[in-house]
Amino acid sequence: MKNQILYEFSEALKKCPWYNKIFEKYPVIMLHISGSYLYEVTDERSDWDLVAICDTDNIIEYDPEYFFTWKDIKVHWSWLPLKFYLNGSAETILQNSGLSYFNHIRDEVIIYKNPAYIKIIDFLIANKNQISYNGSICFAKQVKDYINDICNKGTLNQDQYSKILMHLCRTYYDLSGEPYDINFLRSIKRIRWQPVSDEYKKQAVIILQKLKNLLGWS
Amino acid sequence: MSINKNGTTNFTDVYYNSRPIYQVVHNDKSYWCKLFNLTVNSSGCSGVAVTRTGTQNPDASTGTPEYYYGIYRVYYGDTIRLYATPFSGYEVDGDNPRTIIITGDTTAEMKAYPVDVLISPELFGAWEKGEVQIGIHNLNDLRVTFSGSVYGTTTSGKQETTQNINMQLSSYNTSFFKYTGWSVPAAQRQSVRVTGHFTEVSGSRVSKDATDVSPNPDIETTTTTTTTTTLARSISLTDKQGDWALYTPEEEKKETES
Repeated sequence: MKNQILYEFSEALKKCPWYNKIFEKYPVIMLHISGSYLYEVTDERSDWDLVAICDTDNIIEYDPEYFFTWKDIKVHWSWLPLKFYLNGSAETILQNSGLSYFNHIRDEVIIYKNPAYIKIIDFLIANKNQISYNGSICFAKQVKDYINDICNKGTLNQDQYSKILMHLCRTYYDLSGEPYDINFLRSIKRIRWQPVSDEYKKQAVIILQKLKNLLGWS
Repeated sequence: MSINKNGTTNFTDVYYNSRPIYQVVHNDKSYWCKLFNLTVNSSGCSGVAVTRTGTQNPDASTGTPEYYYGIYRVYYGDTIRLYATPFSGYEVDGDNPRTIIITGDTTAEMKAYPVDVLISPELFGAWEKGEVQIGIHNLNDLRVTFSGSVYGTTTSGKQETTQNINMQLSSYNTSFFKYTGWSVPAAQRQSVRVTGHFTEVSGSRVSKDATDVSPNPDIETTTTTTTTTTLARSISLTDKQGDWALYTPEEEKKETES
């Protein structure tokens, strides 16, 4: 069944007066919706994240200084080089986090495919799980201290309230194959701004411990 | 089984009773070892030194194995030492160097990953306490100095306060460091933007991203006096057409950020 909001946004974006800005700096292989709409944990605060996979190794500016809004919701994008996907690792934590949910890529979130790169796009999609796995490992390693601190203490300090917590739990679900607990993820995603129940905080700690076990860090 | 071997013939496979065998030994002397492929995945590294430190193949020597088109030719039972040189700011996953014994076609993972600095300015009751905490998830033996500014954005949308920061993060395992001295009146508090850059302190290792991250204006934060969250980027509405709007950085921002 077609996701109406994804379809509506995709069609609107193609008609955006500044759509070409996404394509003007680097050769874009594929443009797709990323972020919460990709891994499907959205709420009323969710904005629109896009990723443009580019055929260049010389991206100086991953994120443009400017952005759009659509119906007053922020729309912004990142230019990421193809090598991130082929090498199995990106550079920053947020980029690796983004790779970690590439397994959710599907037709309805793909806005543009460059016809000159169809074989590469097919390869990326065919290997989405491996790309996601590689990104997950890199992402978790980059925040290993954060994970260990929480697991060692068995509790969350206020200074550890971060969206990274949600991404790590989501990563666990993706790696383990367990179904998402959507309400839990949606709640801890906003832990910086809104109260989270003690039950969910405990659940987050348990999931980080399970993630550690899954990664063989114990 | 009989094998005629004159020192120049290279057998690729040997079978005994129709079963492949990997090594031919007679009277405790090894006469032949099967050839295998060794591939080294070395993303994040400038190079990997591959050295055969031991072998049971009489025709093989220690040192760097033969290398063809990305594949090393190694023999069953070879002892291979791998030593990766990661890019600056990268760290090899697992033991480095490491030693492996060849028992078949092998792919050695000598990948290195960035020793990254996560800079994620986050506020935790900061407005009430006159504090700004800048989240920095540091790894390993990181020591950095942060130089930058905190910009307070008021309810009128203007940046009316600038505080300079120049601090050294000296604790290896401190997840956050704290800037105090904030003094924006509570009624005017709207959002905060932190800009600046991290500089490596001698003796530590910092991802090259550390300076690239700066400025990092895309901070979502909120005040403790309102639930409204604003994007703390200094941008302005440049154009609006239908449901779409374009926001670009203000000139003021360009002047204040290095």
